[in-house]
Amino acid sequence: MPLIVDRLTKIYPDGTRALHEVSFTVDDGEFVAIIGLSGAGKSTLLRCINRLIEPTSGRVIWNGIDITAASPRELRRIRRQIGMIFQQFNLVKRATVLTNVLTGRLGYMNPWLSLLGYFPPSEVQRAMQALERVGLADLADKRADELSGGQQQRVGIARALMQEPRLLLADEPVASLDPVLAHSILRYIEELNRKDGVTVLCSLHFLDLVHRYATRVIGLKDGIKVFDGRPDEIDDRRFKEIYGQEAERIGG
Amino acid sequence: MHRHRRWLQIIGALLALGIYAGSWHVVGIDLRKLVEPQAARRAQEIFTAFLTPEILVPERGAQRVEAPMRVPCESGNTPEAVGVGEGPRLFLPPCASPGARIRIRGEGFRPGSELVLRWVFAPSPQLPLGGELLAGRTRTDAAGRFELDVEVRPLLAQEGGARLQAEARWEGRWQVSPALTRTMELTLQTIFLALMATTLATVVAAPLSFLAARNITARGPAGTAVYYITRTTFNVVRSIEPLVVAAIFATWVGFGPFAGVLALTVATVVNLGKLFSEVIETIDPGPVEAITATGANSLQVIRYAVIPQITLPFLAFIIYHWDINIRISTVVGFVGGGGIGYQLKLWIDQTDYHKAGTAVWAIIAVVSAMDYASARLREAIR
Amino acid sequence: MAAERRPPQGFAIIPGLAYYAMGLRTLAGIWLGVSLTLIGLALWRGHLWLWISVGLWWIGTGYDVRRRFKGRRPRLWPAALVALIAVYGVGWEVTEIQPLAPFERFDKMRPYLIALTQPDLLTYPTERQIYRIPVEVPCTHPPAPRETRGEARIWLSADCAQAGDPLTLQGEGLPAGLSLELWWVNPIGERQRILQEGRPLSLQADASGRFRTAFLAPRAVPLGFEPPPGQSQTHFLELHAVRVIGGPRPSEALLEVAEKMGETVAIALLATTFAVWIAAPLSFLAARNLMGGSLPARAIYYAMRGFFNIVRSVEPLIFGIVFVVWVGLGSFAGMLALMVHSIAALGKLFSEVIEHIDPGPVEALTATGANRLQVVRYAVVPQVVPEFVSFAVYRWDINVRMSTIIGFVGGGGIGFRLSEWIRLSAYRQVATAVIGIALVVMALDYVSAQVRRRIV
Ligand SMILES: Nc1ncnc2c1ncn2[C@@H]1O[C@H](COP(=O)(O)OP(=O)(O)OP(=O)(O)O)[C@@H](O)[C@H]1O
Ligand SMILES: [Mg+2]
Repeated sequence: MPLIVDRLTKIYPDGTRALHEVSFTVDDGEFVAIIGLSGAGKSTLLRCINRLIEPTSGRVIWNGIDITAASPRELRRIRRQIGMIFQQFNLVKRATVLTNVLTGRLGYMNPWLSLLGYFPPSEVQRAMQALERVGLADLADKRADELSGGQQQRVGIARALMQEPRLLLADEPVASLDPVLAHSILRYIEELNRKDGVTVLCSLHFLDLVHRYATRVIGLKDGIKVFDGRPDEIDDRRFKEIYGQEAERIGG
Repeated sequence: MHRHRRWLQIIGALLALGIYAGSWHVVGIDLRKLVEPQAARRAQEIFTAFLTPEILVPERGAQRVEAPMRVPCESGNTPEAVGVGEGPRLFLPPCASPGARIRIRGEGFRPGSELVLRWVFAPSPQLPLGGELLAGRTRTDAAGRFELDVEVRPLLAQEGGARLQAEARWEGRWQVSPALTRTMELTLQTIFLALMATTLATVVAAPLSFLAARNITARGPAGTAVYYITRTTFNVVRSIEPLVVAAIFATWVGFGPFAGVLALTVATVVNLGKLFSEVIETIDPGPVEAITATGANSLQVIRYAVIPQITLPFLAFIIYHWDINIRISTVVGFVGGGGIGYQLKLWIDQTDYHKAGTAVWAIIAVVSAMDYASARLREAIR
Repeated sequence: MAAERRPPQGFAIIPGLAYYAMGLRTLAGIWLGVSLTLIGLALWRGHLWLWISVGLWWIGTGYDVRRRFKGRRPRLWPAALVALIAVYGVGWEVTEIQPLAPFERFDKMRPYLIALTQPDLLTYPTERQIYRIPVEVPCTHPPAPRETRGEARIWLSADCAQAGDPLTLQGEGLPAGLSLELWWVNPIGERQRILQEGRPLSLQADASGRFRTAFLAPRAVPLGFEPPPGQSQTHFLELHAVRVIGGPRPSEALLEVAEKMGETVAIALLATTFAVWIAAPLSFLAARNLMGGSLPARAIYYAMRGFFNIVRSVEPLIFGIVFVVWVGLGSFAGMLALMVHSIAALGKLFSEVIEHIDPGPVEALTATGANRLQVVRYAVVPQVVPEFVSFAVYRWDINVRMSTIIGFVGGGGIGFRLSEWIRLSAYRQVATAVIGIALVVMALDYVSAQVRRRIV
């Protein structure tokens, strides 16, 4: 059940070409890091995969289903199997941690019942398990905005866990966190990847993190794929190709 | 360049001067009107009355007994006194000769009250409207009795007699004045008027505000049209004061608080609608994106990503508007919209300034209390 | 929840006390407040169901307390629902809500809605030629057609009629396209328009100058002037041929609205201006940071605060009725009313601005040995002026709105005419005034928003 991205192009209404004919295939169980300068199109690429952003042309095929051609109903069925984690966590700040985690299950629930705010006990239990897995079970009744950044991102992971995802999209999940927390978050994602066999597509800023966690790297520059290979294949020349001539390599 | 500026400034100043002079003329400002003797007296009367609102009034009571007496007597001399009345009784001769002094007795009146005796004349050719003549004053004793000598005046002979009336009056304990009771009742009505209007308006404005939120509605030509129509409606209706609406609604649904409720509801719907839509426009798009990504449908997205973000700001605005509505509902009565305003205007028109003072102080108390409470509540829910 | 203390079970009999004993102080306070409110409402209205709801509230909170005792999740919504139903039930009754009235009495509102689409804006100067046809009421002889000749020939189907009889009128020789009106004049000269389905009947001569119309004879016999039995009265049917001479002119209502809107804006302008100049100095006396020092200063501070708060809570309309008694009907009274309210409202806002200034410059100037007035002049005033102006413009905005209604109590401006028109059911004039108000208020709203954006 590979993920096939075929000549994906995105041109924003204002004319910005954020992606240009990007193609690649991801096999099950891979941990793909997407790297590139700010504005290279990483977020656009990830959001085109679950169509939070409508691609202009090209196709995304997953599990043999063409996501880009799916009806709204099909799209929701596909989305509920694709977890997503965000740089700004995107939690509902005024809701409790538990509610935030439970929202990961909405795609599976009876839509009318869920509008009343009712979740069956089995779902609540599942949410508590997800919270236990990220080590936050005791904070379930707190409001999300009372948590630290690292804790909030773990809630974000728990929300994705609720979806029982087969694919996880992570858009700079650690860019808002300090280096120590960054490792702890990425370790949860790595665990998902290794233990549960979830395919991961993750955009990252730091090369040392890429080397440490990724099994494969895709480099973007101005919306064009300029690199696709193993992390250790990134040498100075490749680095300059991705990040520009003036860039200095630090770490990694 | 510099000189150019100067000229503009001079022209601007002259224009402003002209506008102010015109306004002064149109408004007819005449400070003498404030201090003219008559005006000043009225003002003083109002303000002193306002400072002494009618809160407690003594309980007043009166007992009256009356009986006819013919003058002069057919037989020539004054007969023995006879008693009339049940409860309080009055003893007097049925007839008397002019110029005589007769003794009037009474019993069973309220002890220790002021007692007035007067002759009451029926209408006659000489007194087309009838009349009254004071006969004497005294007080009742501790047993409720009195005795008084009364002169039979010549006028009585002219009229062939009159009815003698004995009236005992007293002032009892101080009690809450009817004006205060009425004021309290109407003040409560005012508060409920604002509450009902605010609630109704919230129910209507909350869904409407989504139509007036750019980030929700303004997609595609149809959506954009809906967005602009809602917006414009809000802005147009907002410019009409609720009192104008109330005056018109009073002819629609009839005078009374319901007209006020409807008018305030209309005004509040457009104000809240505008404020609500601004709240919706400034929500954090992150959670919307995140919950969409989990495969939720759009109603679920609104329920779990939008509503939690807007509930508290909405609540704050609702409380704020309840406060504003209480202020307005103190005056919708002026145009037939219920609440305390109608009674206040009535009292002032009747120059019952003490009673009006009661109403004004009640308004001050309620409005200040709500002002304070709403500020505190809004702080608490932040 | 782990932190909640567990008092003895008996406390559950008085839920508020139990909350207090559990350490839930806010909840205990709310419980007490709601209970007192409900009991107060029950005492006031005296309905049995209100007493029942007091009981249910007690039981509902008691249930919640028991759940908490047993360590289960709190469940307050049943009790809250009971309280809400009681409060809104009383509100429904007190405000005399009749949900059907707006529909049942919609006919009272319809003319306003229609008038809004056709406000009274323009008139056309006209010249009318009148043809009078006598009609005997009632018939004392068999009716016969009647003809009138002038520049045109007009036939009426009967020369006598009774109220409700169908009549036909036709004519020829009129100028083509001329508009025609039918009026009925009774013997004492009262004139009424002939109606058809409740609206004035109006018709036009066709291209060849002919017309024909049918209508019913109206009820027009004057009360107390009924003819003796067997006799008849002479009424007249009038045909008015209305010719428009000259172009459109602004209608009387439009001219009046324009003039009164000018007056309205002038009232607001002067009230705001005076209020600003009076409130600005007073506000310094009501600023805590400036009036902190000595005892008399603090006394002045509290006095000003109290004054502002009391006056602010009295609506300008209430001041309106007081000033109308004081200085008489007219714009001056309205201006004074708006001014007094604005002084208090602005005074409070201004003093808050002063309280929130940057204390740095004040400190610095005080350190140079400047006296208090100098400090105010050079360290405070420059900081507060832009915000004062912004609030003043905002107030002017509110005052324009207010001055449109200050006339309802005799305070001048458009409100006075408007209230009269509403009372007289002059729908089209009301519509003209409402549209005028909306335009002016929105325009000034826009201007003041722009001005404030520039300043801040
Ligand atoms: N909604 C939008 N409308 C127009 N242009 C956009 C929009 N979103 C992104 N872009 C543009 O598309 C390009 C790619 O943006 P994208 O957010 O995908 O980059 P990124 O690689 O995620 O950058 P960063 O590392 O800063 O997050 C940029 O030039 C950006 O300015
Ligand atoms: Mg990005």
